[in-house]
Amino acid sequence: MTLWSRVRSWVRAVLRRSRMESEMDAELRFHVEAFAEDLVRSGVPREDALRRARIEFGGVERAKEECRDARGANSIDSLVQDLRFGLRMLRKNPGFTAVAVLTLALGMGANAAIFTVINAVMLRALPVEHPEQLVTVGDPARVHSWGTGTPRIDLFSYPLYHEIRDNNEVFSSLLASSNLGDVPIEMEGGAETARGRLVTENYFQTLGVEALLGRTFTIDDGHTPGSDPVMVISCGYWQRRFSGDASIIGRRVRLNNYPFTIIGVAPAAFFGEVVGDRPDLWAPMMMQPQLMPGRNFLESVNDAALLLIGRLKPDVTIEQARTNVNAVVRQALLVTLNAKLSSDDRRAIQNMQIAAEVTPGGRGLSRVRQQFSAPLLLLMAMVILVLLVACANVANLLLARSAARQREIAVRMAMGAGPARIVRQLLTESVLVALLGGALGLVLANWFSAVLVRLANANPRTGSPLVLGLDWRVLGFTGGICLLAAVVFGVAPAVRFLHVKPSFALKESGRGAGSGPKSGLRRVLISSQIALGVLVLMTASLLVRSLRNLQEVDLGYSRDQLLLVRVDILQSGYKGAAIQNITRELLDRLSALPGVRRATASSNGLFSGDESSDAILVDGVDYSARQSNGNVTADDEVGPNYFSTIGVPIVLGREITQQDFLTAAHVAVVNEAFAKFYFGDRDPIGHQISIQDSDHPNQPPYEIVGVAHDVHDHSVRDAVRRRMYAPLTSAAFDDLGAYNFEVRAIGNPQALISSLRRAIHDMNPDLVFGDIQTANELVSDTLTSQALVAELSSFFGVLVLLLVCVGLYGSMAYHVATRTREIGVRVALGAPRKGLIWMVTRETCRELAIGATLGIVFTISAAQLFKAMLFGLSQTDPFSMGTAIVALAFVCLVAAIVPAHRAMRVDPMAALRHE
Amino acid sequence: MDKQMELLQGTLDMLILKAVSLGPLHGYGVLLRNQQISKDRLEIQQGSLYPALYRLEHQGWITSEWGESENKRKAKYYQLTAAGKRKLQTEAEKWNRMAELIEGILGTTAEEV
Repeated sequence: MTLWSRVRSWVRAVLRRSRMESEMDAELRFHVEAFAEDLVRSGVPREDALRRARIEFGGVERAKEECRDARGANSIDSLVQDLRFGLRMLRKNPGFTAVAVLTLALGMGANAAIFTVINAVMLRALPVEHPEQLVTVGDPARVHSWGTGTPRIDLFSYPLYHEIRDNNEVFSSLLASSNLGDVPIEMEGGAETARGRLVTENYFQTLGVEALLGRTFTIDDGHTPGSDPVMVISCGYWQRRFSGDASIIGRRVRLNNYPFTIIGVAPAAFFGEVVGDRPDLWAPMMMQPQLMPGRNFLESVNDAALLLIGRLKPDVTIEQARTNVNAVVRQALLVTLNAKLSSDDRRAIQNMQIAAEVTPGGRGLSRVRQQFSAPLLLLMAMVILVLLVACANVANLLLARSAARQREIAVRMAMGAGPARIVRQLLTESVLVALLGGALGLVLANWFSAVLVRLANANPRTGSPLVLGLDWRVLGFTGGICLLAAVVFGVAPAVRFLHVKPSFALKESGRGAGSGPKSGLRRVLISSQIALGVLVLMTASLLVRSLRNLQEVDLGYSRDQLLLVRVDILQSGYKGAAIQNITRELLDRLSALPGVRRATASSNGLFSGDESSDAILVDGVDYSARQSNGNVTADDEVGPNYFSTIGVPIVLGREITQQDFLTAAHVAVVNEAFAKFYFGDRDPIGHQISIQDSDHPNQPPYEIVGVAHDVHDHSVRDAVRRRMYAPLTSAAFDDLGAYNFEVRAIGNPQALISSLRRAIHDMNPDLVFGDIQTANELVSDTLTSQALVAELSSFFGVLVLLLVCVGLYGSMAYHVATRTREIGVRVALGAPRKGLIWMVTRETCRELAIGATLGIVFTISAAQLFKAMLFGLSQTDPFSMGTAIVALAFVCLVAAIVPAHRAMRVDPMAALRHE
Repeated sequence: MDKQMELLQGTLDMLILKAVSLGPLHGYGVLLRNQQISKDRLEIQQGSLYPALYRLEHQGWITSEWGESENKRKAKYYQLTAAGKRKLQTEAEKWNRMAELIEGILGTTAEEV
């Protein structure tokens, strides 16, 4: 009963505030007047009566306040009051407000942006049904990979997938997907390429995704290979390419020259199972032989291209799934599929540890995640530091400003405000600034995260942009930071006031003290800002210099004027011996082009993502002391004059000549690592290498004819592997039928690109080839994440410098202003100007020293965490240290001296009168 | 200091409720009536009267209404609600029981222990 009446009374109080106020006023007035009347009746003169009544009643305002309290409407009232007052204060100081809000907005915006990207890449679940029930089998980072050779368990072959699907006990359904890449698509509008993904027929059903239009694949869409040429397109592709035309269902197109029918459109939010990819279409895996002619992998146990995602049955844990999957895989590889394997493979499987990766799949597969996880986290740490600096800035500004408000606070306390109320009012102002900064920050965040993603995707080949979005996590995160910021820099000045006695403050003429608790806090804030600034700047410097080192690393060959292009001859329709013929002809044509110094080809290319290796036996080598992998080497099949075209010096012997190429000679060139490993100081020339491959038994051995300089051919940072090079025409390693052509240009390589393209097209318009890129571009692509981190950290470094400068300047200006009278006295007494400037800036120097030292210590210890990203220098790199310290010192001194200098110019008389 | 205030608050509430139970009153009237029935021996602090009235109204023991005073001036009159009546009764009973208990303790002689 009372609860209801309380609520009613409270609501009434809030809604009809002004009427309540006037009523209360009238009531109390009536009381006092009635009392006065009684006094008059008892003989007190009229003028005195009213005065005595008032005195006896006591404080009317206080009584009113307590009445309001009793109503329970007080908290809302005072909150509204605080807000109004806070807004008014902010409006009266536009300069301070602008600086504070902008500072916070930059800090919070950067944080929200990085967190948005982190959310999209690392945290967010797929937009599918119950993602927490999904499980990934295989290595989720290998989304664009294809392996040929011994059966693998980080990627799966189709027959192995089949076995797992049919024999497991833990999944209610299991899908497989693999990369389709850019596939030529022909429709009425013309021919172009679209990006696709190959998926099994239960894909959409397993994920729980319904079509937006038409239908998705059903289990019937996969009877036999080639039986159902249907495809589902993405909503984005539908809008972009078909303008959302509803008649798209049933339309026929040609995918890689094979007729397909579009049967459905996926929902707008769905982008597949790979984070960082946005395929335009999904095609059934049963159509793989048609889409990749010559590379049918549905029957092959040696071609592994699939990643699997399964939905767990209810009450099945992931550990149970892992055990069961591995048991099924073991059974499949050792028993069921064993007959299809070569003896080599069988042996390899016996020795292999069957431990397939089974991990929670709710967040989908992603190569981007693996590449960018560490850089993103590092950037997040840096941005948090920037935010802390921003907060310290604003705290300092508030602290400085509060000196002027001391009298106002004292008056409030005298009028009856409790310290809690005062602190609450100051906190409200801080929260207001924080909220304004946060709102502006969210706007900045949107823009900034788009820029981030565009930077990370500098090369459009590496995948379409991420699906960013402001979901509750981002908003919650930003809100949390806002609040934290508000508390951090609101509490600092507020706490001070609890110590000040009102009478003391009222008497004081507002002359700030040079030392004491206020000054101490201010100095701590400045020192910490400087320390954080050093941390950010030094980290940025380390990362930028690492990037520079990586970019300038000697890869072992000459990068300039080198163009590379991958031609997929098998996919273009050639088979068997025709492939070799085409290769030879193409090489001749390319070499003959004007502007081309030399042309050659190789199986694995440079920084192309292709790699191969084989088991070998080298004669004259003692194997008893070798480790188990001592008989595996990386290999490559190359065209004539490969080494001179690439620019790799031959250290011993000769390279592979045109003669070797044309006669398919069984010769080989090895690299220095190979020679050292197998022969030490001995001469390897003349020794024989035999390939141990039971698929191609009884091959003649290769004679070593030369030793080449070591080359970084796939990664700038990784160690160089042992490698042997054999002529393209003679080698019978597992042949993919796609070769990378390397062309050394005379002069500017960019000018050659179109003539290269024309030459290939002229040879055969059906030849499928990828983008033509320079070696430099390919190398830079692998350094994308490093470049991103370096760029952004330098941006943050500059931002931090700016923040420290502004903060220090503002703080210094106020500080000097409070000492104006003291300075005036000293100048009047004849103190030299220089000495005064030193006196004022002396503290700054001390703070600089402390801050810089702390900052360096922090950086060196923190660098342990991102040591993996450094290259070619140590954490204690003196150049980086020096840069950071010099930059901050310069900024600090400028920020400190300018206000001090201005104060010196003030007329001493005016200063003395200043209050 | 605090404890005494508490007791006083409880007693103040009771006094106000009792005063109002005898007929609708405005704030000043409560003061006067209390003086009357306590024969000037118990005084209500003027400063704490109105906060108490507002609190009692907030809790639903009394209601208020604007009316006309004896000299034709507008005044706010307070009246006991049914719940207030019950509350007054409960408080009175509690007070009596407490008084009995204290009396019993204070009246214990040495032999009874």
